[in-house]
Amino acid sequence: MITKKICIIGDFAVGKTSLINRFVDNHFSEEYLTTVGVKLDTKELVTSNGTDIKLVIWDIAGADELTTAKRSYIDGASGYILVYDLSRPKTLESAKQIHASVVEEIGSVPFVLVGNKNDLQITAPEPDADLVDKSCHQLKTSALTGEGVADTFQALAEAVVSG
Amino acid sequence: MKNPDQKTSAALITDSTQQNDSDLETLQKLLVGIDREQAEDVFARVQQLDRRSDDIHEALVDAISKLNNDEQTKVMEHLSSVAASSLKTSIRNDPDNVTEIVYPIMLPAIRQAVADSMRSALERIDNMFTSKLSPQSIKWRIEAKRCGVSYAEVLLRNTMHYGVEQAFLIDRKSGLLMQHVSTLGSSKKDEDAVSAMFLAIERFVKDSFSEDDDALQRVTIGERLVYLAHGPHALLACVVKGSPPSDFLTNVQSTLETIHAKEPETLKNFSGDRDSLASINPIMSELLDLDFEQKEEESEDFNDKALIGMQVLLTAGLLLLAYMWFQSMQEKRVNQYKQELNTNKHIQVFHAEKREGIWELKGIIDPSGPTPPDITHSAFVNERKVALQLTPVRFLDANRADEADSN
Repeated sequence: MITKKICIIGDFAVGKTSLINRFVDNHFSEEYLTTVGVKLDTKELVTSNGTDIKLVIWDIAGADELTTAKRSYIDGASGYILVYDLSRPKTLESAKQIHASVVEEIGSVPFVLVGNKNDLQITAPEPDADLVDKSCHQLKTSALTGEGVADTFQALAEAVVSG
Repeated sequence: MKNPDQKTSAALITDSTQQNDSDLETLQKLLVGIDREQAEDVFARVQQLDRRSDDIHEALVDAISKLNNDEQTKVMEHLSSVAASSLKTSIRNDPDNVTEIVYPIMLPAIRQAVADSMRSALERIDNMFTSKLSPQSIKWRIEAKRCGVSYAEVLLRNTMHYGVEQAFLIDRKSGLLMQHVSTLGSSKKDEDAVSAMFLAIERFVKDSFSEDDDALQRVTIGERLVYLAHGPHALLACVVKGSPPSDFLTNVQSTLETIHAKEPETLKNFSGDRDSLASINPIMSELLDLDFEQKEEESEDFNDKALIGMQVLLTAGLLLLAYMWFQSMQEKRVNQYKQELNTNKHIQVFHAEKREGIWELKGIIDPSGPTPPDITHSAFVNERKVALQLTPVRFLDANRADEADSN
């Protein structure tokens, strides 16, 4: 089995932690998000080519821009999930800024662009083609119903292993 | 006086000569001018020290940049003695200059060393105060008396107990777990998540509180301590229970250096495959053996308990033997008394038995005879513990005996 670090990033309250909670058995309390600014979880998956992979998921506390500390948390990531809120157009703009910061910090690594809260009324526009092209996948999810959540992590795992 | 014509002629010759020189010079310039300038330049380079130095400098830089590893080593070997002498002379001539240079390096190191020593000393004092009036300290005092050593020595020995429960080798960049060793039952959480959390905390503390390159070295969690040693590609985190000696972190750092020396490339290019670092596992397992003192102490403790148990058993056995001997001696004394009584023809004791701590001697007595003597007090028999129960009976034989006596 191989182990890979992935991060889940996005603006405040886009549902990053809820997406993780839908997918993994929690190892640490969410209090870590407010104290240290990051929460760690793990999930074991099998990719389509039969590779056993363990994802160490760094849930980085929400912000529209990455501080020095949060930039250091991204270091060494093999991929990331970039989350925005489908019901808040502003969060898509934040996602673009965060993406630019991440690329500046760790270079180009696979990422999945996720529009969360698909169960609410969608007001956010479709993401720029440029951002979509750079991502390995674009998905719409709902942490409430579980729609697309497992697919998101599976897609990133596939991309990380093949990439 | 000279003739003006002669003068003019001389002047003309001179002019002509000058013209010829000039022409010759021009011709020379045309023919060998460039070579001559170059020759002069070369001459100047050789003669003028400044220019020579410039040339050597350029050539030296170029030559050094083209050295291969072996040549570099040779150059360093040759220069090292010169550099050392230069440094000595420089320090002798101007110590302030060197102080100024090493100050930024030395000061944090000195500060760190002093802080470590102070922390260690404070911990020992704290341990001492904490344990001064506890039941354990009383036990240690007894132990010190028994072993003939000072209390401080026993205290120090007992407070130095520790054990390494877990060791995590963590990728310094990603926080991924490279290797993990633990004692049985000490690992409760997912070690990959814990490993990543160690790095997150290390970075959080560094970003939040440290202005320079200070690194987090120790975290206290209840009765456990986490020691963090830092290497170029990996961190080594040791979870320790108890109070390790002050040089423990140095040992951990040394282990990390060994690991880096063994697998430098694998550590540098770690891709999440833990099997690629399986060769590190035995080195890390040695860290768990650092708790041998603890085990030795536990074993010693067990031996002490066994010894005490044996002592108790032996004492009990001796007491039992003494008691049995005492009883036997008591019985013997009572039997002697019984025989003593039976020598009197007016008394016949049939039975001697101990009941509820009192010896009962039963028999018959001729009332015409003398009063039987009490048993005399001895080391084994207390006269109050002997009850003589004699039933009065008229002895026929005794009468005859009395008659014979009177005749």
